[in-house]
Amino acid sequence: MKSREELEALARRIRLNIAQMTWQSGLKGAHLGGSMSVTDILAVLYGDVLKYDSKNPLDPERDRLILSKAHAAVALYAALHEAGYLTKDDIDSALQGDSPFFEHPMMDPVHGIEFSGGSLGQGLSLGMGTALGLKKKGLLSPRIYVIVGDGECDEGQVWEAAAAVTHFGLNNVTVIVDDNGLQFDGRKEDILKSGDAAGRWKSLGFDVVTVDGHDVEALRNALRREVPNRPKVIIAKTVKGKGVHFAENDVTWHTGRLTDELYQEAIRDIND
Amino acid sequence: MIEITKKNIRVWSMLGMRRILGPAMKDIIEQDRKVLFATADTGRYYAYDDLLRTYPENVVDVGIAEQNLIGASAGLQNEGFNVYAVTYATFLTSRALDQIRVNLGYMGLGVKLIGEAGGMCDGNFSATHMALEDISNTRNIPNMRVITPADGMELVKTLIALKDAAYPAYVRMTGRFPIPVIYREDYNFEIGKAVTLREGKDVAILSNGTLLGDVLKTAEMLAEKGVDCKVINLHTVKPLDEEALRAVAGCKLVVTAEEHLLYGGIGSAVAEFYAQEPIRPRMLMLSVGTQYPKAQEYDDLLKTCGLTAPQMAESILTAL
Repeated sequence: MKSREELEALARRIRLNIAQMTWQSGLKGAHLGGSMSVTDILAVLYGDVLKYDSKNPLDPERDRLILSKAHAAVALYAALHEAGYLTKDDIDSALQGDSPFFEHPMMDPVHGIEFSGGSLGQGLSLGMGTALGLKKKGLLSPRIYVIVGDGECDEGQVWEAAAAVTHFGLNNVTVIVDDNGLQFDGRKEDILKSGDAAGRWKSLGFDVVTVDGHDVEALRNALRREVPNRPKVIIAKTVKGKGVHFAENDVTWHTGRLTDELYQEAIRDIND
Repeated sequence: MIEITKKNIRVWSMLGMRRILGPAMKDIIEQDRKVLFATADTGRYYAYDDLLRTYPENVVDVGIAEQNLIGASAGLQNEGFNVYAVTYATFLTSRALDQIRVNLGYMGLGVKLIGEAGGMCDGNFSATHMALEDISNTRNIPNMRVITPADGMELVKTLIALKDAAYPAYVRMTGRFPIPVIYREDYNFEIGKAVTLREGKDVAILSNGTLLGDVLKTAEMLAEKGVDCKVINLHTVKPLDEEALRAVAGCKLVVTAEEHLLYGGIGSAVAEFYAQEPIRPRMLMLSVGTQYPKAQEYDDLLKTCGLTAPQMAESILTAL
């Protein structure tokens, strides 16, 4: 098991690579805000929770991670680099030219990308089908982790899939909500209220815990906690743009570009 | 059930496509347990009781949730299952079109979509239950094959032919019951290979689905008026059988007849092909038109849209 310091260092390296990819994307920019908010979740998953072997990426016994809020692709690429799926060259060339690692990840299981993403609301259905398929095949140990955004939960399909996850008894599913409270046009509360977010999941039969999404120990405990008979939801309270002060809690940093100066500022913030 | 015998051909005609589906899928599953029958709360339409009783593990009903039907099917397909996802054609291909686009088109996962009530056969339920854009929607999706079987035997052959296919496909079921028998005996079915049902040299009529019953009658009526009509079953709309289309390009008139809105259906597909050919025939596109018809019984709807045999014969004579 990794120490808190090791996980935090891992998260810091992921953030540095997110900033680098955003900067190198030039005028196009990247989804910096939601990538920074999901970073600690990915660091804990790849650092200390997921069962995987980047040397044997198609192992049927592997855990599957589905990044349904796929616009946080740069965070996924940075995490996959830490996990041994992507090289430093892959990171250095991402979001540029004909790199296969662009703004939304494209299905590439050899490189740890289970499914393509970009159209919101669809990841949990894929996770549900995968989880059901694994059970039908008698593979009971792999877990399916699906990361959704709180804004993404506006999509009706999330709830079609959520109901199916519990209906089919898919206790091999863990949903993580990156609850940064912001969506493209503003605060989640102002754009579309979701009522009692935890209650929605609970009422369908999920085991729900709410944690600080930037506290690696709290995340690890929640992710590792065994719940034998029910699928799990972890609502991770996060800050959009976390770690880069000028982007924190600012809707305009949903996507953004980093000038040379801002990039240097971001690096200083992350290293602080 | 899926044995091709004279008796089964008669039985299939009486049952109609939707009630063939459940028993046929049961036989397919009997031979390959990796096949799954996924539906969005329309299972009973397909006489699936026996399938459900015998192989409950092979039936996945996700409830009235077509978007999740596609995503869940894609997830299952990716884990090595062979999924046939079945529900009302319009809810499947219009409501869940983005899911089809991303999961089947973009990712290329080989889920087989089976749309029931393609065209207007459930038109008494109103335009909400007519599938009039399904061909247009699906044939534009990369990687997708699009097939409209003519009768019960061709539906069974299509389901079998698709079983081990790596690509996604859309199968459009049409007609109520009974449905016309287009093939009285076994024949060679190949995806992408059109079938000539009747020879003729003046006019070629391209159609598919149960409408072919009326199209064959149209050709008979025209023969009495001295017009020699070839009838082609264009069961595969994508990929088009280009060779078959080139072979009739010299006819005085190429007619397409379909239970679909004018834009985007087989008329469009055929016209798109000819537009880039050196020899281009004149075309007449018989279709539902450009508006949603008002709810009516199926036979009356065909009349409203000019798709009965005498009306189609009349339209062709006028065009000539």
